[in-house]
Amino acid sequence: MINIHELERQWKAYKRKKRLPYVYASVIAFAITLTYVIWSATPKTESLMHKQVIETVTNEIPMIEVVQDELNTTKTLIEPQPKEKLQPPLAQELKPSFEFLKQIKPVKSMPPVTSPEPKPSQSFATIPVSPKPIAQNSTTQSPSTTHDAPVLSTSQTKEKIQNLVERFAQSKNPHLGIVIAQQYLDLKVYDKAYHYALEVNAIDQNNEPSWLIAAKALYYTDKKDPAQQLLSTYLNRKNSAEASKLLHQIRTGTLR
Amino acid sequence: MQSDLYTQAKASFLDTVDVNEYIQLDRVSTIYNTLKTTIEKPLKMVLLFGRPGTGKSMMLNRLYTELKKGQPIAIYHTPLVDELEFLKALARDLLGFRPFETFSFTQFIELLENKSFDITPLVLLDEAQLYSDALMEKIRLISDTRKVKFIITLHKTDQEDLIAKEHFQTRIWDSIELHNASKQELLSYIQKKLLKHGLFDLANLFQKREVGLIYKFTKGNYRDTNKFLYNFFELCNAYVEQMPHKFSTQRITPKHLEMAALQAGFAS
Repeated sequence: MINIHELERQWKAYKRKKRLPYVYASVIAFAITLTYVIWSATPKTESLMHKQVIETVTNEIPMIEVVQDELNTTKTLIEPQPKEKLQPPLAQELKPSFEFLKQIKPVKSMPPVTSPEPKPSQSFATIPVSPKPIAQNSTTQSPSTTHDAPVLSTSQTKEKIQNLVERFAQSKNPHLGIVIAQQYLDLKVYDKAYHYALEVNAIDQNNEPSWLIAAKALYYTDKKDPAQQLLSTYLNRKNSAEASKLLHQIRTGTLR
Repeated sequence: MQSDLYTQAKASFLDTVDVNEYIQLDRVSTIYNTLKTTIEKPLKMVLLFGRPGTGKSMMLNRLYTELKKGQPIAIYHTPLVDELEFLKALARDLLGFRPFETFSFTQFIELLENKSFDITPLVLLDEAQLYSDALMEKIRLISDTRKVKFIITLHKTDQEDLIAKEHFQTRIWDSIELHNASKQELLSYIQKKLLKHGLFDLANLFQKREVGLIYKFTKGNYRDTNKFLYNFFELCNAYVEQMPHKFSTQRITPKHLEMAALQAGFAS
């Protein structure tokens, strides 16, 4: 006579054994799906420049990320501003655009010495570290701080920048990007200067002016420490007299 | 009483070579007719081969039952491994001669050649793979006299296939292979088997789904299917008697089929 209880126990064990491959397959499929979801959820949607800069820096110090956090730069920040916003609210003084022409060739250009730039601490004392993007601050300064407002170049200069921006968007020529970044730095539109410096860095990580302009933009937005970190990172990669000099100026607060 | 039905069903799947239990399936019928046609040809030997459980013995038995009234025929289910015993059995069954204790192969051949038959006698040897090489050689020589036809069944395994080739390649004029049943044939086989015993309701419970699962375990082998269903109906009986609340007589569940497979050793 068959022992039903024993046979049912055997049958349950048999079913468990038969289901085992399916369980394993399900677990593996779930793990793969989960991995894929996590992978796709990582913030790789940020711009290419962020990604590449981070790639270069993470081996040593995740400094760029720190810089990004502190600047609170978002995707909206790096989008080109409307034409109107590029123009500073008020023009305190007019100056010829020769400075821009000077900047086209050299990438080692320094901020215009002729412009009466205020000290970083003065010029952006009102800029919050977060959460507002720099772009808003630099373009929405109150009239009371007009002495710190970006110097308005001629309309010709503005058009030239726009023209350069368009050309850069098409060609991705790092030299053009540096010209634009430098031009914005000169105009004291530091967020844009920083943005184009990073754009160029994403294209060519060995482009020294991109590091220098980015550091300057940080410095002028009261981000002295990130600026130093950025330069230190670059100096660890490459021995550069220009970068060393800039770092020294930032440390001593002698950068004008 | 349900348990009686299951007992009856169980008995119908006993693994016996009973010609009354022979189930007529289309393909098997075709093979059987081919075998009968082959016998009518002037052949020395016919080889009937297939995997164990494909119905060779049953077919041989059916042939014997059908032909025994019309022509001299002898069937040996169990191999006669001793040569003297084999020769004595042939002399007795084919020639009607009861030999003395000492009876040689030469004497048998002489007797055979001196005997005239209206119809060539048939000797059906089941499980021929169990015969020794020496005895198989004697059988070949007997068949060379053309006084006797041999129908031999062999298991089809790689090794036995070789034996078949070696022993019979020059003498066999025809060979017939038997196969396992297809799913559809298995369904017909089970239903016909149950219907043959008047178990209509039970036969109705076996449909494609149930037979598909049985096929998964038995691969359509008739002997294995008999064993499987024997255990299944025994299990049904046990449920009815021990745990009727956990058993439905109106349908067959995969669980019970799988349990039967476990019980019969088709699953572990």
